[in-house]
Amino acid sequence: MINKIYKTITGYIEVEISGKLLDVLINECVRSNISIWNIKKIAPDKMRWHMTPSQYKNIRMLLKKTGSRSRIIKRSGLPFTLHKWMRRKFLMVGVALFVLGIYINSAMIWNVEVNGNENIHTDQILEAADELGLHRYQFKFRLDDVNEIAAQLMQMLPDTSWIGVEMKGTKLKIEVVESILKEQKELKNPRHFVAKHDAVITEIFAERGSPKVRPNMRVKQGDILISGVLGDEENNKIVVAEGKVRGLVWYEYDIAIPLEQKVKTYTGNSDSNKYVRFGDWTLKIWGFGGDEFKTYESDLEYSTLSWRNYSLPFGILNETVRESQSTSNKISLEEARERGLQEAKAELIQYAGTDAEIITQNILHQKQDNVKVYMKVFFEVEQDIVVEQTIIETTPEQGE
Amino acid sequence: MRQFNKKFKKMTTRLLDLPEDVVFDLPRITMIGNMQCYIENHEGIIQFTSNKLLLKIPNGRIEVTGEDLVIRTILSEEMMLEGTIEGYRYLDS
Repeated sequence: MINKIYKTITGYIEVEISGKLLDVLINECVRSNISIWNIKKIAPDKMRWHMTPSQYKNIRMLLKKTGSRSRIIKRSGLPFTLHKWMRRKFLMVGVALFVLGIYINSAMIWNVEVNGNENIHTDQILEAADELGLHRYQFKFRLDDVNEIAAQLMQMLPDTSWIGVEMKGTKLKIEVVESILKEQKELKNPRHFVAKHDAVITEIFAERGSPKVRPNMRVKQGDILISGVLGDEENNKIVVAEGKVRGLVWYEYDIAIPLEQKVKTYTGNSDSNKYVRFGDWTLKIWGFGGDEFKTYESDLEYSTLSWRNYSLPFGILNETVRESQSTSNKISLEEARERGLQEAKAELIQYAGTDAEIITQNILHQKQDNVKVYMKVFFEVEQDIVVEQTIIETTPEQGE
Repeated sequence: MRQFNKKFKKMTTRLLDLPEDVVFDLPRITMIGNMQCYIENHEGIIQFTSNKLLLKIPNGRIEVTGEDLVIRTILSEEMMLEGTIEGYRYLDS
């Protein structure tokens, strides 16, 4: 074993000898201390052996003496391998460049990821990180310790309570925990509160501004409810009106409800088909000759092989076809009326706001034909009637 | 005289318990199964083919037969033979 390793390191050649007196040649070699091994006879006048390359020239004399000829078949071992590689200079350069390339690429930041920020914009964090040298194509060994970077980054971003910087391979992760800030008041223009609808005031509470109406007063759409102008005509100040005004608003709805309601149900019969799909091209492979349904619903389920976010552009499409039938139910007049009112109320609340309250409802008029019930319904709703109106300041001189 | 010499040597070996290959200049053959054959104290190859090796020894010749014979190593007095060895015999001793 050790011998073999030694021979590999020093290198050896395989020689083919042809001639008549081969056995004599072996003896001669042994006598002249030429080491040969793995002697093989491959034909009556041909044999092969292994020997060290440096002794190859020493056998020439013996070959001449025995009238044989030699030929090198194979060169093996480290010196020959090295020689072969050295001759391919460009390959060696390529190998070196490849190793260097891998090393450089793995020593670089390829991705900066920011997590955990809600109010601070990611670009803002990235910009701050960029100033510290954390950006794409930056070498990792040029950066400071991650904890130090994190501390510096925290100083640059005052709205954060903690920043963690972590290096994961070629990815740099910045974890941000934002400090909880006080809610900022939204900016408001000086304004009046005016009526959204014609209404009867039920409740008024002016937080700021001067109230112009009292409960039980009737107002028209656009009337000022809480004025943003304090004081009289000579000494006045414009403020942002704040407060709450509720009033009774009247609504009229025309409702039509069909007496026959169609309901779709499944019969329970189903059929499944399978398709192979490549891109937009589909081929049916399973489910031929099933029952044909007059009315049906079909569910499609497309499955492909996927890994993370990448999926193959082909897959199997499963189609489940379910037979359906539609039945019609007749409903009574009472039920139809109830249903109509419900729908109208839902619509009303959606329009008037969730704090609206229906005070009274009256069916003013009701008509019925074979298929539908028509109703006219009156609603009295107590709701917020405020809408804001910006005060545009005009100087008295120009106003004239 | 030669007869006496031989007898004397044999007696000394027996009396002094010396290894006989040393005293009589005999070959020492070690075999590992039928795969390897280690021959010491030879005097050169007479004939070598892939299924026969004829070897000169001090008092005659040894013939080793087998298949796919390869001389692994050969030195002036010892050699190692590998292959499927079928047998060996002494000639002219």
